[in-house]
Amino acid sequence: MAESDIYRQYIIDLYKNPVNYGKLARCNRRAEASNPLCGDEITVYVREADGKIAGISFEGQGCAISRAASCVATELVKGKTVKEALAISDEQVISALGVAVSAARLKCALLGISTIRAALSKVGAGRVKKTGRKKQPA
Amino acid sequence: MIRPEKLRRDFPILSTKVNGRRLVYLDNAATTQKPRQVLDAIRDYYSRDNANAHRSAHFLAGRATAALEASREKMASFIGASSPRETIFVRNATEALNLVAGSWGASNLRRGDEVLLSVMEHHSNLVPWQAFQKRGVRLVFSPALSDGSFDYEAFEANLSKKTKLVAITQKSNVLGTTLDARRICNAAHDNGSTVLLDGAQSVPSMKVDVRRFGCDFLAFSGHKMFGPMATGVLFGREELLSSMPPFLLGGDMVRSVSAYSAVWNDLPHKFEAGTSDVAGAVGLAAAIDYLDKIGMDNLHAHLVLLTRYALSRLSEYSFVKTFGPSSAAKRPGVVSFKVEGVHPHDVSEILDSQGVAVRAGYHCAQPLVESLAGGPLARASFYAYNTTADIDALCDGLEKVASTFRVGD
Repeated sequence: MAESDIYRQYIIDLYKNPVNYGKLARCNRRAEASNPLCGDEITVYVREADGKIAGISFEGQGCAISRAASCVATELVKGKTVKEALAISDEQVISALGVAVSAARLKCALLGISTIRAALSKVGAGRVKKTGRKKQPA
Repeated sequence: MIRPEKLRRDFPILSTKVNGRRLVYLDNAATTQKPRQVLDAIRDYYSRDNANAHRSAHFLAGRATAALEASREKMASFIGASSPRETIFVRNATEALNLVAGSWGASNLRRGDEVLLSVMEHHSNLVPWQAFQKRGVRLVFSPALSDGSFDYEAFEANLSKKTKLVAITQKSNVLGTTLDARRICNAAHDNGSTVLLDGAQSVPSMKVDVRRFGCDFLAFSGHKMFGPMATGVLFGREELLSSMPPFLLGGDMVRSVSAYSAVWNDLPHKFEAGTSDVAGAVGLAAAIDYLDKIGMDNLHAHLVLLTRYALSRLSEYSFVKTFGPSSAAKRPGVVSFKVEGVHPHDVSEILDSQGVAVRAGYHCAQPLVESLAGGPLARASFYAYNTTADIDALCDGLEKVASTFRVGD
């Protein structure tokens, strides 16, 4: 059955207990994105040090696929250089997620990685000065 | 009484298998399926009558023109219009609403005027009016009560001397909440306001009579009532339509044209620029015949019955929350819900794996859904061919959702 393909145990576990979830202290890059059609919202926080991703986290609202894929994507880029992280492809994220994502849900699965890329690519606007405790929109 | 099992035989698509299971189609507020009578009418039109209506004088053009106008007459009588001239064919309710905004709105709304809407508007009856804010027109939103029913007293209190137009949905596509159109129109007219009803959800589900309602405009789609995609209607009172400038300019909407000017055609053609979708109109006429055979009062009663059954079955689950009035009679055919701790898209994907088609998201009514539920919702919507067994299948699917997501853990 299709649902057992996509809603595997570990996907549900990641949805209920996501890794790298929450605000990140001392972050210096940040990006927000949303998918208004389904109501998904995500904020990615990055702490970059010496060109490497020393810390990364995300938070927001989303479906199981979007949240699990964001967990996987943050794990993939952690510790990498910004250049290496930007080179990670959509396919790598999907393959690391390990389930067959239908075309209709691809947008959900890629929301995390695309927001990570936005955080890493924006030099000016994405940077958060000092502590990263910038106020979040409600 | 409707016998849905018998009707189902007329809908070839309902025998589709989804993941090896019976298709349970519960997305009728988005669009309904089409009976073979409608499919046959379209094929017959293209096989026997096709030409460009209202243009050439040859044999087939005459048949195409007659078919288009016969459909218009049928539609006019279906909604109780005084004359076919009051029945404009458009592509969908959205286009009908845009026609009123672009033509009547553009020539009547001035700085300081107010347009009174409800909080339940579909984006198609919201975004076109937002554009008028630039010229100093104010939008006023009439609230719903906390149970999702309409607050008539607040509506009446919101009517003021500045209210030029009441543009309001007769039935919410999210809650199913159905307004008393006559009461709305009477109050608005006593106030000197023009009334536009968005009938996209109401016209398919109940007996509609524009003269009894007393509305000035009524916009609706044909594809939500067994008709072909991209068919829709704007009803407008003849006196209003006559005074309005055309919306789209081009062929057929003119009587005579010189290099620098043109004289507009008569109603309804003034508002039907370009080649008409005659096959669509023919299919829509077949849909009306089908609805007439069922009987709109019977259809309405069937939707109330299914909704009552759905609300009762869903209340068995502590992890399911439904939205809207508790009385099925006040919101026939639509049930929006949330499964605790599960995103509606995951709900809909798991239901789909069980063959159950529902919609998930904001349902093109983001302000309402945000304020009601704080996020997206799943929605099941019913029509004539749905059965209580379909609702049981929905409930079985929701149990699957709960077990997959270990809801309640």
